[in-house]
Amino acid sequence: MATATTIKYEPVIGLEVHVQLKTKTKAFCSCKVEFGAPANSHTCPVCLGLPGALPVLNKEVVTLAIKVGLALNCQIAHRIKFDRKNYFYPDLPKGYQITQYDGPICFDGILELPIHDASGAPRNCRVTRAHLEEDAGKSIHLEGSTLIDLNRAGTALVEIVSAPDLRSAEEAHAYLTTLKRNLSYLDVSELSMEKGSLRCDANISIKPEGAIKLGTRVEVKNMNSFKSVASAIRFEIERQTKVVSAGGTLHQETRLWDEDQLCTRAMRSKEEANDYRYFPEPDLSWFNIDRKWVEQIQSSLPELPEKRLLRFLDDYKLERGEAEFLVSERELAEFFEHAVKLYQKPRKVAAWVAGEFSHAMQERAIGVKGLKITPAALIGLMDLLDAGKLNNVTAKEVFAAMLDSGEDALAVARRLNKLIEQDSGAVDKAIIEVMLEFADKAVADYKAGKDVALGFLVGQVVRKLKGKANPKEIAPLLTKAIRG
Amino acid sequence: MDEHTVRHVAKLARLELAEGEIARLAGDLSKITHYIEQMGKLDVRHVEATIHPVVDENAWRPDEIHASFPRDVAVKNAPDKDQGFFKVPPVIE
Ligand SMILES: [Zn+2]
Repeated sequence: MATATTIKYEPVIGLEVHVQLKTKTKAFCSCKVEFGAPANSHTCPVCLGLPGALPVLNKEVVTLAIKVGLALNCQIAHRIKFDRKNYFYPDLPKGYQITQYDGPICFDGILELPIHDASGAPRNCRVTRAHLEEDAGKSIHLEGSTLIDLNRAGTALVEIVSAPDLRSAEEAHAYLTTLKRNLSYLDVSELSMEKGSLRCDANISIKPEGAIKLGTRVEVKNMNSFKSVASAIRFEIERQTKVVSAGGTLHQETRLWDEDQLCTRAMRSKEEANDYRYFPEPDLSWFNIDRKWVEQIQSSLPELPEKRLLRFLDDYKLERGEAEFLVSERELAEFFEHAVKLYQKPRKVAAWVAGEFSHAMQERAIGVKGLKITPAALIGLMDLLDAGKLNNVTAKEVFAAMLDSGEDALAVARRLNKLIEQDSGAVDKAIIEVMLEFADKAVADYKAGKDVALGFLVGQVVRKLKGKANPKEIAPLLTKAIRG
Repeated sequence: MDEHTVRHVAKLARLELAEGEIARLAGDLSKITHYIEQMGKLDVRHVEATIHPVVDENAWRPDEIHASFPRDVAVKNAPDKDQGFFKVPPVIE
């Protein structure tokens, strides 16, 4: 079994992402779309699949799908139709799903990922297509029975299919983050994996490095976060490599990710091999997508992250990593730009927003909107810092308090008693105390030419003044005192 | 169309067929498909596929909420229900 030469395998990964569109009503009926409503409170003859009921397309669904396509750099079809995908499942009352089979509304897109290949060029992932379809209902699996809620049945989804361009779990994660970032600028979906408005399945195979022919493809479902998508891919690459290396064969199958055991398991399937018998939906005719309409939608879009990133690099001379972070969320980018309008040092603002600000967001697990700080308030804080009324340490303390209270910087600094007052008596006293205390050690070291000792002594003086001092002002005073 | 295909299609459509029906249906369905296959003789290379006999383009509606069924009405005809849900045999055993 074991061969003398070990073959290296290369993973090939493609992702399918379902995005629930944020429309008021469902795709083909006028029932309200609402997460968490009482079971079956938003149903009608169309979404219950009652005989004789006819679907009518919600125009807003098409508008939002075009926005999605434009944000993924896709072509937009001139004319669309719908098809039926036939299968039986209790959460699909009609016995078919209305979808788009051979004519997706959006196609041939591309996403530039924030990762680079060995030559330093950014990695791209093509977006094969993004098509419209309706969602199924929700099943609650109990012992001995399954309960069905059809509130979600018929809500509009866009399914975004990537080309098999991704080569690792990290690249797949980067693709998902970039996709979500671009869509977040559009306000077309809640984009919450937790609430099911964003779902991702992965197609994974391996092939001998350099081979053209793709290996047997395994579809993995049931991941509930981007992190678990990456974990499932890592597991699956390892599993497939082991099977193939040991001379075994892989089966084309669907596997489910098990978040508790951190492994994938073959899904037991009662269904025969997928045979969906697609055919054109006879209840819906053609829809034309006028170019003027597309242009109108295009011009209504906010500046998208790729473009914004380039502008931030050019206009503000930011570090790439900082700029990438700032454009990662529309609100963050807008916060930064508001702040820069009030304060002429963009790199300093960027450092604060990418540093303390993002740290606070992560710590509290909230977005920009959740933080009670305005761009003007942040600039107020930076003005105090520039004027020497706060030092770097106390500024961070004041910042943290501002996030919670929503007060301005001066009010918080006063309340916390952090403002540096020009009390030269107190400063002189602290310097003398520190010099006496460390006469044998740091002071002697400094006199002996160890410059680093000064930093320590300045720190001690600032501490004695309870942080109400500016190290930059203390340092020369201290030097003068030591040298006499 | 052979009997194997008839069995497969019947299974996909959840149809229960008696053994005797399968051979008869295979014959009937073959006649139907042969009849339709006559169109294969026509040169339709320059004819656009008709996906719908009615040319009623852009029949869409605005995104406006209309009243749904009351909850009890929605599940009224269900063979089994539980607290407003449709209740079906277990999907996962
Ligand atoms: Zn409905």
